[in-house]
Amino acid sequence: MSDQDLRIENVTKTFGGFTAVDDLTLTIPDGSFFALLGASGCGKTTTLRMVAGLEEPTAGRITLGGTDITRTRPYKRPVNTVFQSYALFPHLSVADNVAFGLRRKGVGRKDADRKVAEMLDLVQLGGYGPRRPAQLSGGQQQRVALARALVNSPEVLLLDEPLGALDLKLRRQMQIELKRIQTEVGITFVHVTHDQEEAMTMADTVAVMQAGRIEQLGAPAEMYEFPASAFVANFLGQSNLIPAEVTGHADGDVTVDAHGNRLALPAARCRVTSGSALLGVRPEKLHLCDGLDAVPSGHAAVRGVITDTSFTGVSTQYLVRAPWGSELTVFVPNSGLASPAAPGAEVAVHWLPAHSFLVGS
Amino acid sequence: MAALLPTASAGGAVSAEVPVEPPAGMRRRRWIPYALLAPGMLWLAVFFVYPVVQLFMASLWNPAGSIETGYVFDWSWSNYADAWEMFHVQFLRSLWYALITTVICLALGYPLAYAIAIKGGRWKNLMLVGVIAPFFTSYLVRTYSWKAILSDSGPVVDFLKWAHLLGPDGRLLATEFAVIAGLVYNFLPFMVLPLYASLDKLDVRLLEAARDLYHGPVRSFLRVTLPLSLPGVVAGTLLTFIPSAGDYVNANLLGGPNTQMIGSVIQSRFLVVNDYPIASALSVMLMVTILVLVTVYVSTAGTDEVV
Repeated sequence: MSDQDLRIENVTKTFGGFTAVDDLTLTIPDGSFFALLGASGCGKTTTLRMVAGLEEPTAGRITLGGTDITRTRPYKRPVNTVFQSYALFPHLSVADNVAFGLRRKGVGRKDADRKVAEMLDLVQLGGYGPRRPAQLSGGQQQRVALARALVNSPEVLLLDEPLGALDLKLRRQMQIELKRIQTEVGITFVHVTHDQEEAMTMADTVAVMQAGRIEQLGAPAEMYEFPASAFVANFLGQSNLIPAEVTGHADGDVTVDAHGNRLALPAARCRVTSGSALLGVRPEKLHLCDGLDAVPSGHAAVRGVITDTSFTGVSTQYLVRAPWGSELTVFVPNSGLASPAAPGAEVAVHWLPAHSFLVGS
Repeated sequence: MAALLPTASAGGAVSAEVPVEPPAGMRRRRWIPYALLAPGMLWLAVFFVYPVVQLFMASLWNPAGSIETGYVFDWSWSNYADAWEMFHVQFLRSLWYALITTVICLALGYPLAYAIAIKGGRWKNLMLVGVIAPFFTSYLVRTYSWKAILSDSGPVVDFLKWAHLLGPDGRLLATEFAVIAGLVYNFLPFMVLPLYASLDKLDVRLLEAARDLYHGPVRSFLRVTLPLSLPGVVAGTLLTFIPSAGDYVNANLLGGPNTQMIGSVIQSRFLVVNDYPIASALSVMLMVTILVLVTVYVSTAGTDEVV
């Protein structure tokens, strides 16, 4: 943690009777790539706009490098934004768009021209300076918006769903590009998105938001492997969640009863240790075999019948109906080692207990 | 261009080799645009082109003629010199009044249009009705009512005298003030509506972007709002300047002999003095002058870059 961290302390924002952000506290370390992930209306954009100064918090404070910027006017903050709609100035050329903030900061014309050219090169738009935004494609406009914000060397760059309007292929390409640029310039990026894959691909730290609060915060892999709640388990990737009752503790393990199946998992993988809970396993951590006899030792297992298979290229997705009626999703990689199972086949679904997790229901 | 040419000729060659016959339905529908244009074109030809040609011919009639004896067309260009000689004061005054009117309308209309478009919220439509409402009454009637408001025994003069802003013998009627006030009143909506239309289209997210890029409210306005509303400014100033320059109702009803405008002169030359050649020459002069001014103005404002 350095002095240039962005801190959001107990910030609340209400619009009329609606609470968009609810007592949010967050520290975004200097130089990190931070993603605010959530469904629309979860308060992530409002949070970003408060950091930008485009909304004023109802309560709480925001500090940047120890300086309170809660009530600082947006044009006086060392923060720049890449807007969702890009908001490029249609009456100015690409170069003038990029130079818009620089000139105002008192950078001389020559210096500004050089910086603009450098920045356009960085976003791979060298030579596009004299064009108008309307003459560019969506992806190119997005790069101009990025260059226009980055050229000012802000302490924090805010990105409001910057890739939302791009098609899938271009989005993937820009994700890698953004990550490269962030590494290159070393500026703190705060990236708002509803795309969990995008957040996990790009960010060092992801904060999952729901109803104006942070559900969980952490490194993408950590959160994916051990989600803090059922919401996160489902929002970040897919999960099989089985209602279960905690029945006891033994040797660092927690035993649960799920629809009559006695299962155990390490206590370290449990967010709750008593009462009703949800036992979760990721679909790619589930394996299929012919019957309970074939289950490797040490694995937890349940019986089931395959109800549906779908081939997706890298893997085959199976739906397996468990004895209690609900369906489990199983991803089996198409490694060519196992022959595919057909719908109607009786199988056993098994997993390593350390791969499962227990969250509150 | 050079790189484009071979491609273009290649394209031409291809279409020459394979003549594509449009389907019968397509061919039949080609005349539809012209059919849709026809009524309007006919209207323009009969009620605009023909009268303008007539007007121009009349401006070159021999001034020796009269309505009773008839006129002879003999290319009397001297009518223009005579018209300028007699009425250049009113001519220049009209352009001057129109300019002042346009500037005042812009100064009053821009903040109004801005307020309605950007800050109007749910009152937007009501405020727009307020701008348009005066049109529910005749132009002439409204100007007459201004005559009553500004009259020597009217409330405005009484108040100004009471406040010692106007001398005991002071009056408003028959002054430049009254004529320009009338012009501003009558043509303000023509300024506000186009300005509103262009400001209403303004994406407020652009203003957020400007604020984010270190521009305070004033600078955001100057570098984003104003340039983007330029088409509205150009349209509004044209719609105010052109009718103001040719107006005669305000000068006739609210002005006096010293505030006479060219519209009044043309009107009285045609209908009172029956001096058709001079009246026509003045009309053509006014038309050409405005056309030249507008062309210069629009090309300098360079709106084609903005829209």
